[in-house]
Amino acid sequence: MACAVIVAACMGLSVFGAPLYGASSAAGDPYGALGVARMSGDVPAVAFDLKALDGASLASQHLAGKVVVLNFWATWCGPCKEEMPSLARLQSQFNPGQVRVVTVTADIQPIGIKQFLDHLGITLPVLFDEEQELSRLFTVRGLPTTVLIGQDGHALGRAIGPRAWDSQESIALVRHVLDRQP
Amino acid sequence: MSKPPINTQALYVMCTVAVALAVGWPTKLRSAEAPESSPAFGPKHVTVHHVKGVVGPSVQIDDEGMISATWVEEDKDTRTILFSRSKTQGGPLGTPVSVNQPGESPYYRQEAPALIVRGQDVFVTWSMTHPKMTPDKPFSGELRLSRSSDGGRSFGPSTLVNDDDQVIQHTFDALNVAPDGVLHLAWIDGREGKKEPGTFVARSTDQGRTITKNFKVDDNTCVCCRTSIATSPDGLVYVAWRKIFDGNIRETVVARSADGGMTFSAPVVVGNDRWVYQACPHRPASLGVDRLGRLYVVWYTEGADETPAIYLAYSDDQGKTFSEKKQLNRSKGTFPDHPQMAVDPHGRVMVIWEEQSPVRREIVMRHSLDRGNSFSQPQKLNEKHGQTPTIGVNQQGTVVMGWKEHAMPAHRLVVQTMQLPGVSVAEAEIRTNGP
Repeated sequence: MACAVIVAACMGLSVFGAPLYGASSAAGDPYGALGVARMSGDVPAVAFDLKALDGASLASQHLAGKVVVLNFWATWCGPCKEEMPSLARLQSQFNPGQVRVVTVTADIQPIGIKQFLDHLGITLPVLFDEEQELSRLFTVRGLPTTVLIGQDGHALGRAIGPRAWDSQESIALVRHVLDRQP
Repeated sequence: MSKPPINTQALYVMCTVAVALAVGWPTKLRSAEAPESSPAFGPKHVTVHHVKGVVGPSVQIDDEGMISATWVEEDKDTRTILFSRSKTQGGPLGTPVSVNQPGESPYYRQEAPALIVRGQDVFVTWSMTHPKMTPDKPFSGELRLSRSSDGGRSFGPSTLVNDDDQVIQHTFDALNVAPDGVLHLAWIDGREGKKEPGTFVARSTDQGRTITKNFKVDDNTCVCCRTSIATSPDGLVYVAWRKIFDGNIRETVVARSADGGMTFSAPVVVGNDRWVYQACPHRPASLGVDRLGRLYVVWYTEGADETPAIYLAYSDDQGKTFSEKKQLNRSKGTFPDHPQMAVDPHGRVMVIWEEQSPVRREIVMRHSLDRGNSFSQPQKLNEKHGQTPTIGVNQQGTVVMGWKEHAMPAHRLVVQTMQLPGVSVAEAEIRTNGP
C-alpha cells in the first residue's frame, strides 16, 4: 500500500473515557447549526501521506495553513454518494488556497470512482486509505464522516452522516473556521 | 485443479509460526487434554501475501478438524477470490485455488466472501462486477454462488443468485446449510428503488446448482451492515440484519422461517438499543443455534448513549423474544468492533471481535461453556495489527479463528484452532435449565 500515515502525537489522542467531541447545540453556534460536534481542542494534528485517485499522493503538509474539510466515504454507502455533489459545491464557494475539500475512502475502486466523479462533474481529490489507518486516527466509526480541520492542522469538528454541504449553514461554518485565529 | 496465476502463486510464502499459547500442541485435538475450563490453542498458521490488498478471510472447520478459508486478493487491477483447505487437522492451509473463473471479475473488496463447507461440498458467495455496469452506474455487482464438490480442489462456473436485472449492488451476503442440505442465502439489495434497500433471501435445494426465486424478507435495511443467517436442528431458518426504524433508529433484528426459508416472520428487535445513527455503521450481527434450539445473537451497537459496545442475547422461543442483553467488551481504552460468533451443538459459544484505538487494532475473544450465561476473560490473539476476525466451529467444539494482519509491506492471514473445554458444563446447564 502506497500509504504512509504518520502520527505526530497520537499517543495523546485520548478518545476513551472522556468524550472526543461534544454536542454543539447552542443558538448561534455555527457548529450546532449544522449538527457538527466540536472536537476538543487538545486533539493533536495528524500527519498523513496517501495515494490519490490521480496516482499522485497528497500529504497533509500540502494542506498546511488551509482549512480542510476531510470527508470519509465508500462506494457502497448511499448517503456518502448523495452528499458528494454538495461537497463539490462547497469547494466552489472558496479559494482552494484557503479551503480544501478532500475525500478519503478505504474502498479501492479507482475506475468506478473516476467514472462516478466524472459523471457528476466532480473534481474533488480522492485519497485511498486502504488499511483505514487515517480513518482510525480520526476514530471514524461510520460513513459518511466529515472532519473539519483548522489552519493549524487541528481537528475542530466532526459530522457523522450526510449534510447539505452547500447550505448557508455549511458555508458559514467554514467561514467561521477560516476566520478563526489558530 | 484450478490454481491462481503463476505470478500470484509465486507471491505466496506459506509458513507456520509455531506460537502456541498452550504448552505443546496435540496431534489430535481432544478436550480431555485441556484443563476443565481452559481452551487448548493450536499454533498460529500464517500465510504472507505480497499483493496490493487482501480482504478476509472467512473460515470454517469440518468435523475432521480440517480448516478452510476464503478471501479476496487484489494485485494491480485484478481481484481474485481464493480458497484454501488444510490437509492436516488444525492447519496449515494448503495451496490456494481460484474460486472465480476466468472472465468472472470480482467486484467488491469491502467484505470477505461468505463460506460454508459441508463434507466435500464447498460453497462461496461473492459479488461479481455487473456485466451491464455503465459509467453512470459504476458501483454495481451481481451476487454469485460458487461451488466445489471435491473439497475445494476446484470450483466450477458460478451461479447467479439475484433474479433481478437491476444494475445495482447485490452484496453483504450470508449463507448457511440446513440439516436437510438446503442452502440458504441472504443479502441486501435495492432493486425496488426505495430510499433504503431490502433484505432478500433465496435457497438452493440441489447443492447450489440452481437458485430459487428471490424473496424479500423486509424493507428499510441498513445498506451496509452484512446479513447473517443460521439454521436450527428443528429446521428453522433465521436471518439477522440491521433495520432502520423511524427517527433513524438502528436495531439488530431477526426474522424466522418455519417453512424452510420460503417465507419469514416479521422481524423481531433483539436488543432494543435505540441507537440513533444517520450514517452507515458497516457492522454485521452474527447468529448461532445450539442443538436444543437456543438462538444466539451477537451484535454491535452504540445504544442511546452512543457508547460502542458488543452484546449477546439469546432466544429460547424461536426468536419471538430475547433475553436481556449481555455486554461482552470490557476494555476502557479501545472501541470494540466487528463481532463474530460460533456456537457448537452443546451450546458452547465463542465470540471474537476487534478492539480498536488510533494506535491499536487487536483481536480478542471470549468463550462461554454454559450457553451464553457466563464468559471467560477476554483474551488477545493477534501479534501485529489485527482486523476482520472470523470464526467457525465444528460438531466437536473445535473452533477455528481467522483474521488479517497488516505488516508492511505484506498482508498476513492468520488461522488458529482452539479446542473448547469439555461439554460437561454446558450439558449440565442444559439438563438443569433445559432449552
